[in-house]
Amino acid sequence: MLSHRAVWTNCVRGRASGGRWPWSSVKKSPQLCHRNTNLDIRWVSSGVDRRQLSSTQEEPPVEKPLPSQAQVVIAGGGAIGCSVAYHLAKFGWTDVVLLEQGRLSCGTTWHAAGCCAMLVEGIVRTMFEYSKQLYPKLEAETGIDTGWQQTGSIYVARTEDRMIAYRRHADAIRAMGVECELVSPRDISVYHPLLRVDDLKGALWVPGDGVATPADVTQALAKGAAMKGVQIHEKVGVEKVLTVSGRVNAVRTNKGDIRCDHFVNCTGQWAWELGQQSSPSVRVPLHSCEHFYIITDPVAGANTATTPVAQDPDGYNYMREWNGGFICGGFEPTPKPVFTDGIPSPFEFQLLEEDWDHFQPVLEQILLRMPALKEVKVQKFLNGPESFTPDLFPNMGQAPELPGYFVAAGMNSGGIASAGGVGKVMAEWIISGDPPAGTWPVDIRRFGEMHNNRRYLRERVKEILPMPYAQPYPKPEFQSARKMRMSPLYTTLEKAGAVFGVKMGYERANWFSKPESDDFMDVPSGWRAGEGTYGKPPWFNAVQEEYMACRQNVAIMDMSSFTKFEVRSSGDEVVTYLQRLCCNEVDVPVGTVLHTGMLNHYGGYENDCSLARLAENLYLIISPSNQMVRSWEWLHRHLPKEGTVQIRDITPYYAAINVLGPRSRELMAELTDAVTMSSQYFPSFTCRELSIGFAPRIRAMSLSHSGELGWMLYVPQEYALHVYDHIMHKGRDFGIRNVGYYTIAHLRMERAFAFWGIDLDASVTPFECQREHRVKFGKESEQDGVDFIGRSALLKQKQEGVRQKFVMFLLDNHDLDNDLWPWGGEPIWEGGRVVGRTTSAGYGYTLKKQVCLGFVHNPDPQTGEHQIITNNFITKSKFEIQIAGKKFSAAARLFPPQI
Amino acid sequence: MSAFAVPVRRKAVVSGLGRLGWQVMMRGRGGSTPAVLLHSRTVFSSAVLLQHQPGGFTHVHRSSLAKLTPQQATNVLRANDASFVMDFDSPVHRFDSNQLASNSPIEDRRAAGRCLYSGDMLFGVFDGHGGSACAQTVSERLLDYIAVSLMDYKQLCDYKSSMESSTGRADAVRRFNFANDYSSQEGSRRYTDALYKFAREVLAAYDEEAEAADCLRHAFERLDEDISSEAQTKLPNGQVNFEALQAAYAGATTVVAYVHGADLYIANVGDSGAVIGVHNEDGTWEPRPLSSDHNALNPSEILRIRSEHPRSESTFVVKGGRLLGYLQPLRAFGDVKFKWNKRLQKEVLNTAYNKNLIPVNYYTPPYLTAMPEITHHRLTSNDKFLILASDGLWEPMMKHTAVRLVAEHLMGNHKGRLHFDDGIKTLGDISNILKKRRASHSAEVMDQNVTTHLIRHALGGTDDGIDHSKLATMLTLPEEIVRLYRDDITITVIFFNTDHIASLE
Repeated sequence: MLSHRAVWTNCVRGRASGGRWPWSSVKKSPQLCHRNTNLDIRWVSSGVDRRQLSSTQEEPPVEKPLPSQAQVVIAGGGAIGCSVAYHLAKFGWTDVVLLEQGRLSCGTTWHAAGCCAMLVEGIVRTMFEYSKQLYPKLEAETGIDTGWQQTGSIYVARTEDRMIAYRRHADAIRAMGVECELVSPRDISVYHPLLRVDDLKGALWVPGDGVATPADVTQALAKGAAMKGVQIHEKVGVEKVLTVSGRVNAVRTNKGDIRCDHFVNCTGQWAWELGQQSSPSVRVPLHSCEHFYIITDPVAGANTATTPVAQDPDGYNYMREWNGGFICGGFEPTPKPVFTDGIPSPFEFQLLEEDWDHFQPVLEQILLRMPALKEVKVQKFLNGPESFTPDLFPNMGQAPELPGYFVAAGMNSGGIASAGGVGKVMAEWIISGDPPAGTWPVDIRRFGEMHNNRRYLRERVKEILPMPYAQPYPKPEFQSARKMRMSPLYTTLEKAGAVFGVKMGYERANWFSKPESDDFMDVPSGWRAGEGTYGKPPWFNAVQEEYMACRQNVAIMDMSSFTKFEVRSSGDEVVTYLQRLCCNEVDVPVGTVLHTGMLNHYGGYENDCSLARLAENLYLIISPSNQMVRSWEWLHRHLPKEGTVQIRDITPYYAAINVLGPRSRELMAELTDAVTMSSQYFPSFTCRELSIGFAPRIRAMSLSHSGELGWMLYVPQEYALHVYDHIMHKGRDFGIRNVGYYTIAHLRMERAFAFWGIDLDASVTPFECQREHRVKFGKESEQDGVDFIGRSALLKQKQEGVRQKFVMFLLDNHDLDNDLWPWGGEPIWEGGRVVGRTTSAGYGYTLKKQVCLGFVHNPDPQTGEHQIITNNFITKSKFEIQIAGKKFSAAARLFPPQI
Repeated sequence: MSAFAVPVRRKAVVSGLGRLGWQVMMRGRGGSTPAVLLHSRTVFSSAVLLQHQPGGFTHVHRSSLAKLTPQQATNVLRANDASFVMDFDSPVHRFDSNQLASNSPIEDRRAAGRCLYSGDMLFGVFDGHGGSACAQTVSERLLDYIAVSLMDYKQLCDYKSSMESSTGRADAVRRFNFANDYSSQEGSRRYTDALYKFAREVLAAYDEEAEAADCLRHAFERLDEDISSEAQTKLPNGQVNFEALQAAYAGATTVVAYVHGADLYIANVGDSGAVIGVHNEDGTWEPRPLSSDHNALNPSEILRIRSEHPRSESTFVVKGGRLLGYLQPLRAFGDVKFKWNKRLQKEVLNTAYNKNLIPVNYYTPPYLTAMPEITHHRLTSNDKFLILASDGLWEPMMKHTAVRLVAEHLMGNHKGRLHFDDGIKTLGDISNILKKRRASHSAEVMDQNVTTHLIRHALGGTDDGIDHSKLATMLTLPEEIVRLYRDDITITVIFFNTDHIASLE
């Protein structure tokens, strides 16, 4: 309510006012905003730089009629929208229209601080690095200076843990080819003489980082796009996205309709609301927060070209040079969400009311870090809204609800740093129709309906905003907006001491802090959820007990969060359908359970699932929890047009209980009878309906997801507690024990099982992870195999060989107690070069060694191209794994040792 | 567990909620209502029903215990709140006031006014017992008595001529009216006559040397005497004046604040209390009590009473924490049962009520007085506010807690949004200002009116802030048992005008 009271700010744009910033330090009346917006360029394909004209004369804006159709319509003229337009045009798609409801950059781009310095890895890092390459080049191409200055950036550390985080980060980004350096406290002054250093433990110096001017980046991208033929229309608001037979067909604006094949929602904080304006509606989970910075008067010693961006995550603040002074802002621990009930309209070049009290904790830390600022005066306090997503990754990709509808929104305050790369990735995505490699973390399909709830978002973004500067401990779990999806066993497990994590909004027990057995003593006193360490974790002993129960005895685990689909047809259409989707043979006897991949045309895993044939024409598909939306979309995309195959998501109706361990068959016999559970009658990888206790029709499958002997019991929700209690009651004599996901992770790592979403993604083929046995080229008959999706790519790969390989590593000489642990993401070294990154890591309780799983490449020393990997390369090479700067020699294995 | 797990803070009921305790307490407050006594057994069982049951549920058998929504609770809390900002130059900047009933009807009263002749400010909180009649009378009359008593010669003359020329009543005080105030129709004439009489006598015996404290004492004593004598005066038709008698038979404790420039006087009779919130130079807040409770917990009061009666009476004059074993406050208006001699009681009370009401061991009356204890305090610019409240607040809440809550509320209210005009303050200066403000911030304040804020905390406060279920339970206790858990609460918080006071220093 109060924050809706947006206030006009002084927004004098362009150089004419003497600054590069969209507002000047001189007080101007709000009306000047309107007058000066003529500095905007209404880019037309002629590519004339009207900006040059605008400083000498004023021209009324020319109304240019909207085209009636276009290949792509982009909504949103901020940095992201302009970048998507620019890259589409650059890659040859020039029939593109960009619509902006106000003026270019008027939403939230214009008040961005323009720091191109982020502690990110993975795909977001790739996009960020690309942006840093792009911005300096734009001036030559468009004549518009983006304000890019490669000043470098320095991240300071107040704690030892922060230094560990920097070392891990340095390992990771160096492996990506990013230059960086760890700096001792004394040497920080060499890079940034204005920082107080006596309380610091060290710093990370990244010379390639820098700063840019957001409005100018936007203008340059817009002009670059316009020069290639993109039509940019300002003052055109998108009202609705029209669909025909479940696909994007046109865009309705306040100035008329535009027919289009593709629509891209780049409307930033407006993206959620715009997502609702189509049928079906599109989820864009993001929520605005107030976001603050101040601009100071000049400080002696600040230099535009050389003063680096300084970031002090432990004091949640950053400082970049601006016109001789500094822009100082931060990511405060207690953010203020805003606009839950909608964004006031219009909201152009507007700010929110300043809130010094809220900024106080950040200001205190800023002055602590840069004492010289105490003596200068403040020019401006800026409170601008910024949108955040539920997990600090942007929302990108094609909406699962509506083919042809793409989204690039929710930049979590990294919009300027990412814009270049986001535009490139989105353009590739739109043109190819397939997600580019490594984009799963930002893929909008990672979110479901529950993530789009406004109240959920409002609660969650309070935790997200501080995250850029939070200590990035391993195995992080969100603490806010929890207890949304829960198994019927939740309260029972909670009482049993379960420490829950969350996946896809579903609460899952990670480990048990107070097992009911007598040997409970493992939880260190003072332990509390959310506390982290880079070394031996507090749950080590507790998980060991759980692990041993699985390895030596019997254990029980709630796996209800798994995604479960029933697929059926009246005839045998479902078999044909699944044969095409799955690389394994699915025409198996009724009662058979099998693992299979669902591959894309490149042979990569779209999904890795278990399939049970319950009847001739009925299959049950079990997928990982986080596949809920993605695999649903994949299955639907390939349904026969005739509607002969039906899919039903039964996730909400069935709980899943896993009974596992060498004595699980014995226990199961107690629960039912010995004959039923005999290994002849109920061998591994089969499925039957059982009664357990008083509960009928439990779908029991003889498998576990960690390689142990075990049974997955799919229990109608209403019987779940009964079945659980019954198993626990009977299992008491067996010493049964609750176990959590950490234990499963440790069990499967020692068996080198790759998990989808952790190790596997759409760019990995079965051949690259030793799963040839799950690929049946000759399905149905040896001569005329079913052409399952990805088959030809796999056949080609089978002939050529693979260029990456999933390898298990056992670390030598790792001191469990005193060395830092591998957690996934560590670089894999071979012969002085980085050949890969680990994807999973954990302690092998049986092997008594740290186990790392990861992909190995063999880049050509000259070209960098990935060469064919032979088994010899894996077995003969000497590998090392680098943990926070320290390298451990690692024995590589293609297949796990017998355990 | 329900909110009943919290210890019950009732003076009379030290351990358990026994039937006896209930009786003693009700009698002790002055008027033992037979109806309540009859119901005492029921009361006991209701309380037991609220205990934790083995089944894990708190069994609530009474529909009247239905919880309130947060908005309903807020409506109940705010029903009687009021806030006044002084639109004239005064040492008082504003005051907030609120009342929450426990007795039905409420027995607390409050009054606030500005002396018409001197411009001085008066605030009173009156806690009735044995009904509200005495508190009602005192609340209607005491401020006028004080104002008159404090007048200088010229003011008295002016007032006298105003009295004589006025057709209605000549006001000595302009009152701030509260929505739930009412005034006695019957007594109005009687009150005016008595006040005029008092004014004439003050003028006749004008003493230039009289201190403010003496004037306050004089006003208190005079009003109590008037209440007493009016009860003895028959109506023109020869009937007992039951309204006047009821006012004299019931009782009321009273705390009055008199603000004269930078001079603050607290006149206290009984166990209501006044505490000032002092903002120290180091930023901390300190409670400075300006009244002492006139009850059995105050040794000097016990000594005073014992010294006023023969040594032989010292074992029972204050017994079981009560005056003669009956009355909890050791000073009060009214309560003529402890003031009149036996003859007068027999003549007036026993006749009117048709039974013997003379307390046991009643040998050397009077045992009770309305003589106030006066505290003088010279206000400084560090004195930010004064809390006047009936014991309904002071039972559940410590004085320092109340001061902290008001201080936090004050700082929160003054928070607003800061705007630092571009280019005037350095960031270092700004940071220092913000740090100070931050130090005084606390949890979010739901009530603009600080007295509502206090009542909310008194009833629903926990270490972790307001517990709505506790608050809702406290607000929905059935009439028969509510007095076991809370008393009527009346609070007035007076915020001083620091600039005005600084100019007087």
